[in-house]
Amino acid sequence: MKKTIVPILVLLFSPIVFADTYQVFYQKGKVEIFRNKKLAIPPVISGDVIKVHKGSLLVLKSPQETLKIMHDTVITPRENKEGTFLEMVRGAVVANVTKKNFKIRTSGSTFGVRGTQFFVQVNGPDDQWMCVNEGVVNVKSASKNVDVPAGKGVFVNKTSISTPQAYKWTKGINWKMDAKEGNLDHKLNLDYDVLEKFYD
Amino acid sequence: MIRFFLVFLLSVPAFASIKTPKNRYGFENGLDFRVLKKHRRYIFLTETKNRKEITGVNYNQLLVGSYYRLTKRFRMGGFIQAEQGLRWDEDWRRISTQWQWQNTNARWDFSTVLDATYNDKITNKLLWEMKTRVYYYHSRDALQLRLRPGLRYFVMRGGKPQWQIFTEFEGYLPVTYGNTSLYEYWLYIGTLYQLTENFALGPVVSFRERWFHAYHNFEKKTGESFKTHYQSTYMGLNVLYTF
Repeated sequence: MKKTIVPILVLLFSPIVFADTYQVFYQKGKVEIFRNKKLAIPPVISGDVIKVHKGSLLVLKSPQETLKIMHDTVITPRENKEGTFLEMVRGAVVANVTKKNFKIRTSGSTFGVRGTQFFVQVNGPDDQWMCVNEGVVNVKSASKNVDVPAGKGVFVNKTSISTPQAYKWTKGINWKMDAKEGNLDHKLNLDYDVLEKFYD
Repeated sequence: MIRFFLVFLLSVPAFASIKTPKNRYGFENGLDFRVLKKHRRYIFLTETKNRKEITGVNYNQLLVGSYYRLTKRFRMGGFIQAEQGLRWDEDWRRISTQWQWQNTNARWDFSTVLDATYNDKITNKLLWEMKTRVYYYHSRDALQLRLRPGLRYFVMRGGKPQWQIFTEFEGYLPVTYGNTSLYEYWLYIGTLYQLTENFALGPVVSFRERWFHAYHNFEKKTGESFKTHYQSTYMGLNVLYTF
C-alpha cells in the first residue's frame, strides 16, 4: 500500500514541485485561466491554458521569466526537467527570459531561447513572425534551423524561415514589461483588418 | 484565267454589299493605374486605364472622385469619367460607300458614375465583395448598370498583406438603351504584390466577351439586322499607389 501511495503523491505534486508558478504582474481587460478545463485563479501553473481576450493584456512573472501576453492570445506554459515550453495556439507574446532553457512551440515551429528578450506572433502555421531585442533565438521548423540575433526578425511558415533582417516592424514592438514605465501596447497594429485595405 | 477573272468580278459587289460587322476574336493588353488617398471616411480615387483592344481600338479612360465609408463594410462613391475609344452600336456606320466601324480613338465620352460597394470577411484573409455602379453617359442619355461580385485572398506577412489574389466577374447591363440585358462581361483573375508600404502592382488576366446589335436606324435604312460577337483575352498590369 505504502509503495503505491508514494508514487501517486509524487505524480500529483510533481508539476508544482518542478514548475515555476507565474504571478500576475499586470492585467488589463478580460483574462481566463483554465486548469483541467475549469476556470482557475492565479497563480498560473504548468499546464494551465491562458486566454487573453481581445483588447486585453496580461503580464506574468516567474523568477526567471517575464511574459507579456498580448490580446487575443491562447497560450499554455509547460514545465519539465529540461525547462519551460510555451505552447502557443495563436496571438503574440513578448518574453524576457534569463538563464534557463525556454522554448516557444507553435504548430510547425520552435523558438529556442538563450537568455534573451524576444517577440513572437502566431496567426496560424503559415503566418508566424518573431524578432529579438536581446540575445539570440534559435528558430526551428521541419526543415530549417536559423539563429536570429538581436535587432533582427524572421518570418516563419510551414516550409521556410526567412533570412534574419532588421525589418521595419521590429521597431514597432513595445519591449516594456512594467506598466509603471508607460503604455505596454505595441506601436504597430498586430491585427491587420483586411477591410481596411483599399484597392479599387 | 477567264474563270479567275469572273470570280473576282463577282466577289467585288458581294464584298461591297456587306452591311453587318464581323465577329472578332483576339488578345488585348493594357495598364490600369490607381491612386487612392484615405482621409477620414473619404477614399479619394483617381484611375486611368489604357488598353490596346481588338480591331485596332486604343481605349483610354480617366476616372476621378471619391468614396465615402458609411460603415466599415459599406461605402458609396461619386465619380466623373472620361473615355476614348468606347464603341457603341451606333458606331457601325456607312462612311463614304462602306459600312464600317467609326474610328472612336479620339472621341470623348463623358459619364457620371455612382458606386455602392459592400465587402465583408469570410475569414481573416478572405474577402467577398459586391460592387454596383451606375454609369450615366451624358451625350447619349444612356444609363448603364455594372455589377461586379468578387473574392479576394490576402497573403499576410508581418501582420500586413503582402499579396492579394483576386477573381471578379463584371457584367455590363444597359438600362435605358439597347435590346438585350447583357452587353458585355469580364471575368478577371489577378494578383497584387505590395512592393512598398504605398506601392503595389501585379498582373491581371481577363476573359472578355461583348456583343453589338443592330440599332433602330440601321434596321430602318438597310432592312437588315446583326448581332456581332467580340471575344478577347486581356492581359494587363495593375498598378496601385495608396497614401
